[in-house]
Amino acid sequence: MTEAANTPAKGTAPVDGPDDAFCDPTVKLRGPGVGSRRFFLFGASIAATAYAAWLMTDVLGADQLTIMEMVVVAFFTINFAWISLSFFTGIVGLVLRGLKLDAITLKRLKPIARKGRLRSKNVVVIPVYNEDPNRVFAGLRASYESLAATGELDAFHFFVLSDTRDPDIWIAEEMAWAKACADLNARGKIFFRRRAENTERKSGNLKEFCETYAANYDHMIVFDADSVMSGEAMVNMAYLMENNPDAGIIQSPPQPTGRQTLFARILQFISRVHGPTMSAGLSFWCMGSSNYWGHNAIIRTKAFIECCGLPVLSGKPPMGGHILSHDFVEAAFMRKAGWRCWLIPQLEGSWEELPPNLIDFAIRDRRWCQGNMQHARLMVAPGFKPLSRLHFFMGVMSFVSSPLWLLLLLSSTIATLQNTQLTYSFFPGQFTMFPQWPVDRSFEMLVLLVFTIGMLVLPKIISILMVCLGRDRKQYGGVMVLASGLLETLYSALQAPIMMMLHSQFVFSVLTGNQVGWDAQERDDAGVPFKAALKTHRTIIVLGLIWGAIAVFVDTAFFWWLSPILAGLVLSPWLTHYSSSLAIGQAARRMKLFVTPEEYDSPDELRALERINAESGDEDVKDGLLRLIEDPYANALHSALLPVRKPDARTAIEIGIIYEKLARLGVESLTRDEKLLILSWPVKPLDQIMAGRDHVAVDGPKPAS
Amino acid sequence: MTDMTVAKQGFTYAAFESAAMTRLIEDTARAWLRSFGVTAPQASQRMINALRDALAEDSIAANDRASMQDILDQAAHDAIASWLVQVTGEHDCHGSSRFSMLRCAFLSANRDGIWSEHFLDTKRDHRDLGMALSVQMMLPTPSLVACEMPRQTLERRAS
Repeated sequence: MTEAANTPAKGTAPVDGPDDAFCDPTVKLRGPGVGSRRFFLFGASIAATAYAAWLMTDVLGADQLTIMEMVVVAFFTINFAWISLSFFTGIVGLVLRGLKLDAITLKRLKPIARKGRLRSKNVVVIPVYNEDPNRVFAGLRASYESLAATGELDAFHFFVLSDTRDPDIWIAEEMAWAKACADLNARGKIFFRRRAENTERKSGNLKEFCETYAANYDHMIVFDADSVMSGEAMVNMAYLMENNPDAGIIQSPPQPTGRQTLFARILQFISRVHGPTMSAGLSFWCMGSSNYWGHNAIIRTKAFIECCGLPVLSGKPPMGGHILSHDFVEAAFMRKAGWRCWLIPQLEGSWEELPPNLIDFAIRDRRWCQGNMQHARLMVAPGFKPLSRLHFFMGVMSFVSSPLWLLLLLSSTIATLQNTQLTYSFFPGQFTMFPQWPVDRSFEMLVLLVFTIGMLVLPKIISILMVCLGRDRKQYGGVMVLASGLLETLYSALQAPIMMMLHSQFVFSVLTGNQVGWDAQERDDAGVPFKAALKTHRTIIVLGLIWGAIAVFVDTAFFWWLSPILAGLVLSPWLTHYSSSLAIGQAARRMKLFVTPEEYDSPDELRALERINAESGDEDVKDGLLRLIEDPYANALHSALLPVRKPDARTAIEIGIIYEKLARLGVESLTRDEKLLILSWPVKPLDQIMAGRDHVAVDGPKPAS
Repeated sequence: MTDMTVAKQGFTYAAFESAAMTRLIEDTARAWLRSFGVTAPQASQRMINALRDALAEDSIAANDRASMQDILDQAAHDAIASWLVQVTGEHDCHGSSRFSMLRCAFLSANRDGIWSEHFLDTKRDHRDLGMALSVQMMLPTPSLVACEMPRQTLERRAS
């Protein structure tokens, strides 16, 4: 019997049932003092924010607060609360890492020791949309090979869920699937299906899978197109699911890897150094109310089917309509139904890839911004757990904090401008013999500055120092880890104002009703030409120059105060261009800068990925239709993967017309939609096309030439 | 007349077969053989015979067919599917998806051309070929277990 049968009934909160007696207590996800943890974290954050707000009021209000200074204090307090929560999460994470404690049980960290073989049936699902099939199947194959090495392959299937609309990629996916099945001798273990209508994007893709094949499985591990996981990690996740019957989702922290541009290597480095700190901190206070990040996580299938069918929000997109950032919402619905969602920081062997440059990173953020902004509506929807609301709020704030920061800086500029216009009054209000001297608050200002910057960078700096002093510093480039950390801090300081402006623009765009499309992420080491960077950032540069000029006019000291922000804005095209350079990224690697353990001693899975990528690098994703016309095998495979159906009369005529165009003018003459239409039915071979036959194969495939 | 075998089986039909029809039959047979990656002349002859048999026996209802080409295509499909039934021991070889999957499997197994001579040969023992096809058979999806994923509402209780 599979363990899916033991999950709670629909709509009821899962409770520890009799099956608990058969669960391995050493992997039980339980920990002491959940309330105390949250009390400490939120208490400390509120206290620090209150102190900072008081300090700011004291500094600005030394000579009475103006209205604009009150606005400054308000924005500062909101921003500081955001920083403060992140700071204390980091501090807790550092303590846990330093003492080598499990964030959930608070016991000594130890690897998961499985007792016996897996009892459950699991499926690794890979939803794809116009992704490079060579990369998708390379990741699948690397994970499959790793899984085979664990001896638990029989407990897993793999399923590629294609939503692809590009005709050439569609055919390449089919061929890559057949090749993977043949090469790995995995017929009946690796599956493939393409959805004819891609409604509701990724969440719709998964929903369709849930309604057709998912019930064959107890758990599903969701991959992104660029995910790779070790067999050990996948088996451990399934084992944790089996032994925690109330767990709905278990999220692994994916480590970014595989990119070589300077931009990506900097992010990979800091994610590897500081990411585990933040994951441990988050896991500590979230406990069973953690979030789901959409991939590299295992999900209890039955629970997901029962309680994660997403609602459609009232109103029009971007704030209404189908939910775009589905992962947070699915976790919230899981929690609402009583299932627990866990983040397990020590689950290693989980990887993903980053966009290679700042522009692609921003494009991805634009898409996420639209999705996260929808969550603002869910924050106040009834029924969700408080921590789910907090996750929604954090998702919203990850973008809204940028315009808030911008408003803080703008209001500071206006306040400073106002102050310079005022003449100081030594005898305000009433007639007195004693003048009111101006109060010097420069020390308090310095304290506030150090306090704020400390909150921002201290956890990161300690993480870097911990790595530097740790035994495995060689894996991070030895002592060069300090230089890497310093350069990363400098880079992130310059990048922050650029992201502030871009995020502010995104938030404004969403709030004014603009939408973005749905495109595949750039997954190569693509650089950004200087002209393209200049074109993208021209508005930011102009704003930076104008702002700088105003700051100089207002007060030179204020200009120097703003200079790190202004430098980021004015230097943005250079920063974007040079950070996207593959050559500089590789040169940094040779200088042992931004080195990660995955680069120093690549795990088997990533080596396999590289090998398979190199082998399949030459495989063509072009001319899919031509391939079907010329290659009998591709033709037969495509026919076999199509749903059995007959075209209606109108469609049959349309297809006939397209074939005639194809015969007369060649494949190049067809549009993407025309190709998609004829690919939706068994494709005629070349000799039939040239003979000008105008009938679609309906009862059986037409022979390929 | 192109072949004495045909003459024996369908003299009446073959005697009246026009040159255009002969060409059409041969083209159709060639196209279907190419689609299975088969080049053996014996297999080609068997396919031509099968097509002639079908026409001679008038086994295909022509009234709902748009052209002679469709009749021949259907005849070729049926002949191959019937042979695949014999090879695999399965009865559902006529369906579109299954037929295509078997075509894939045959193309994979016959990459070196070792099974070309077996193609459409109903007199041989096909156990080895059946085994080879079962090894090469693709399975795109597992069994369908349809269920509904209800849409949640933004109301107080989980639905």
